[in-house]
Amino acid sequence: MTEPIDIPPPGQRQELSCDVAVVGGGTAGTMAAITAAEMGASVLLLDKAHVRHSGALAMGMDGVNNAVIPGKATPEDYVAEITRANEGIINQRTVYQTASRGYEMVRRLEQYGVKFAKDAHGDYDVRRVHRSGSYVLPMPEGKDIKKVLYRVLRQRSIRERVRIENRVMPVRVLTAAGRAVGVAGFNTRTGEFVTVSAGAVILATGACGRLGLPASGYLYGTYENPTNAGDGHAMAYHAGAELSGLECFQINPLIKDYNGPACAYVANPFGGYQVNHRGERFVDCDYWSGQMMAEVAREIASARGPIYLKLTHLPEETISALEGILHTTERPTRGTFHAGRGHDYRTHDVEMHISEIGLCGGHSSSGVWVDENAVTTVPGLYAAGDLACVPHNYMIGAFVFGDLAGANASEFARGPGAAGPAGPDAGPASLPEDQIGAAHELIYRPLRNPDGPPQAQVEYKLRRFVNDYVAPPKTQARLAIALETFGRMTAEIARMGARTPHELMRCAEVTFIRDCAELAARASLGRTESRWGLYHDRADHPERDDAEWFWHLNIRRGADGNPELLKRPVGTYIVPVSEFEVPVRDPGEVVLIAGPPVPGRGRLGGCRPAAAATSARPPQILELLRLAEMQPSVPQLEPYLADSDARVRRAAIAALTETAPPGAGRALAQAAGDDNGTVRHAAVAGLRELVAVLPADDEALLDSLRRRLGSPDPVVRSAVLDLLREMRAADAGPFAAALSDADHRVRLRAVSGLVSTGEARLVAGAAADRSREVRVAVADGLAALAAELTETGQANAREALERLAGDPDVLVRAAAFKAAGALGCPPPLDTLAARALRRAAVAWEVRAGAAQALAAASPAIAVRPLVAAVSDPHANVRKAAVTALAPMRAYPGAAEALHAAASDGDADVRAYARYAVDGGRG
Amino acid sequence: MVERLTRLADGRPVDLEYIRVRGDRVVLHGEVSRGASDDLLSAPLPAIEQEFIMPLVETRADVPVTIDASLCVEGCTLCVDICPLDSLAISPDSGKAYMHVDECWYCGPCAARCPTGAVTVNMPYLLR
Repeated sequence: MTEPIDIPPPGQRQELSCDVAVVGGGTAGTMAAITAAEMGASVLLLDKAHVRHSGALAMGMDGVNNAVIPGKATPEDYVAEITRANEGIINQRTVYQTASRGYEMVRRLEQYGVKFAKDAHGDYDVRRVHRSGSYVLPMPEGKDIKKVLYRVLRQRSIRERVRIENRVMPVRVLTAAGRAVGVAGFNTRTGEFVTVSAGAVILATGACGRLGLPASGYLYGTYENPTNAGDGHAMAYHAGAELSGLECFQINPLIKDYNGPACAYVANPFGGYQVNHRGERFVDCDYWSGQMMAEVAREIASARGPIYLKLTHLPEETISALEGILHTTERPTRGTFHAGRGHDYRTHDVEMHISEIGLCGGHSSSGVWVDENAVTTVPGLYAAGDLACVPHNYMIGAFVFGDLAGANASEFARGPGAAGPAGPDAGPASLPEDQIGAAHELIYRPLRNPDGPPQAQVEYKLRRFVNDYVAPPKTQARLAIALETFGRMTAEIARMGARTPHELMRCAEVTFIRDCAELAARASLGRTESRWGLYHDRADHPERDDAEWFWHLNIRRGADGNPELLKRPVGTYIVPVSEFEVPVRDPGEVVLIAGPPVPGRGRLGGCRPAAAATSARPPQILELLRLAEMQPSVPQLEPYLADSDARVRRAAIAALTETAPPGAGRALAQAAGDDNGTVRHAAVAGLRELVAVLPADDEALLDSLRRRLGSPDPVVRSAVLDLLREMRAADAGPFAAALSDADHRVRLRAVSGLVSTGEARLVAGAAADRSREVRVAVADGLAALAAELTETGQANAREALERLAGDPDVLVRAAAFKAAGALGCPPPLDTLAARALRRAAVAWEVRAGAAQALAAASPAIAVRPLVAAVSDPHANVRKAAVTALAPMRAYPGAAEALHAAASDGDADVRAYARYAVDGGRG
Repeated sequence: MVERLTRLADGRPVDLEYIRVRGDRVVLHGEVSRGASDDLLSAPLPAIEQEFIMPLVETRADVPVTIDASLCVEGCTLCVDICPLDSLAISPDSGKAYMHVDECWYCGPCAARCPTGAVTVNMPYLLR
């Protein structure tokens, strides 16, 4: 990839064929490939990176934003919520798929080994971030999600049907008689030209994340993975597919300069929130919407800016727990970034800023137009994930639509409509040579001008113009300059120079970015209203205009080869939403919009002969790495697990965890007894990672795990307790015994285990533990058990909480009061809480806990102190008081206090107070 | 850094001293001394100056990913295989990994998966 090459002749190429070609091996693409293979199709999965770490999930994900879990929310609620977030312009049938199939997908992922947060009862621990409904499901160990998917891809049944080609980058979808029949691209390492003949093509190339230039000026310091350059948007457009909502940009509030999520969704449940420079909250709802982004942008630009994610007020253990997530999952270099500036969550609130613009179905709603089956407007072409226009679809939506695309594409490839090979015996269909020639020209053109402007300079200039003329606030005048500029850039891009396959990849990406920039500018120019807050803020058309613009705005290549804009009617809602009245229109009613003319594009040219690639050499750990690629069995790995070098043993454990062959659990349990600490820790980390797929009925494995409870290493002992709990493979015995362990981390796991086995008496018995963390866990555990306590259990819990409410430690007292609330706040806890709430000298954490306790107490005792607490100096105490008072508003003083709180200085308190005043009809 | 090249791309032995300026692109520096073998002497040298001299202005860049050569296992290509941006390569001279372009999302699989802990991901300079 670093060696200069010559242009290969178009006829000298690698020719591949398959039933279903999947472009992009990220979230949607891997799921599409797996499902298509399960349906019997032969699948070719192409990725310009390496599937193991490609796409938006390169380093995992810390949570799911849109899980509709039965009993916690309904698909109808979710569809209504997303309809509101997208201001009515939505094809509800697509969103309903994510809502109704998401739960099944969560279960499927869990079977694969992905771990989601669960409470003590084993229920999914969903959190509330949206304006209504709880859909956020944390994945505290989500860093391994791509590892899990890659493992599934390599299971024999799937591997036999899915061929993975890493480092192959398609640049064009090939069509014949209006149908997708394959793709053309090249190998970004060797420069080899590649064509694929396929019965159906699925595009899953992610967002166009490299559109705007980040404020840092670093081309690759984008919010989205910078490999996502809009490849699929450009390919779909040139294949004749429609794209939609390209004027509804993605813009997010992020850690300034680092440009990754902070992330309010993660920090919120821990007590973090966004504030301006004066320390005031300024948004009512942390859910990322265009409206929220407009508020954020205004606040940053105001005298109250800049803005911060406030964390410094949180206690040490909360901050370290938060760091445990933020510094290991999704964007693990956050810690490196803060450390480099000498910042720490304990001493510095995190400065936030808004990101560059991008096009992303997952976060806003721009992308390739698809129906509820992931079908584009080109037969045989499917789109899924961030590339597709399914509003606010996030990770679960990417999986759901990947699955749908895989199922529908494999069916199409088998049917009579398919142009590609019908089965393994059919030879490759003949591909359109003129399109192949055009793709060849697009790829290799920069080699003809090795001294032409390099990609970095051309791309910087192009994206700087995107910031200048396309980013909001948008105006007709600026957007017109944008179009003129992008036209001029077409000629500059044609002169761009490259020497190596790697540089060719970047140059092809620049053409995708330019195409996306032009399409986004045209769509922004077309929609002459403002909608979606900052996403489409037309300064020259500041109002929303439902009469003219309650339409989807689509764009496609017209008959003359130039982009044409069209309005498509918003389909009848399947879930009515009171704020929006959908005009009744014939679904086929399409209105074409006249746009400005289009500048010319590049043309075909000549070629030169090609060159060859490089090689590598093997020593010791290398055998293991090669073996790991071939789905090794435990016996194959055993010699390495017994190697005398600890580094080899660790690498063997990594391979074992990565591939999870049958018997992996026993081998890891064995390795957890290793003499070397780092090996032991790698082994228990592997066990934790695989817990969802370990056989819970394997007695030999369980025996081996139980033996490790006698390990001298507390990390091993606590991990084993966790494993036994998660596998539901132990009664109270081992947990009760571990309550007297010398190490507090082990005792903490013991308490969790006792909570999961419902042992209230034993949990309560640990209330005198010498560690503060354990005592907090006891309080939390009793709260979790509240619903299922027997009478004796109640008494045990009450006594324990009474003791903890008088604890010398602030956080223990706060937890005790909070738990008292869950228990119905029986006497004498109610009077203790009332007393604590009245004393300003008491720490705010305790006052907030006391207010939560009083929510469950008799109004005779609770109302007076709660009314007083509505004017507490600390916002979190006021919020707790307001929430507690809501059901008591019939009592004297309560309604007045809630009215007063409705104009509180803190936005969160205000929102809760208004909700309470409206009697829950907020 | 002054280094020595002993073989051309077509396999013929040479002895060239050159300055490494950016990855594997080199600027020639010093005399070309021919190998011992006679038949190689008779063949004309390829256009090595065309091949090796970089005509563009050289810009030094502080790159975010660094590799501790003393820990990097020769022959292992794990970090090179998985980098989403394909920014890492194996140096043909040392056999060890290095960052050949300043293109980085500081995502971290290279460091997380390195079996010997040789890879460090720093912030790109513009973000630091």
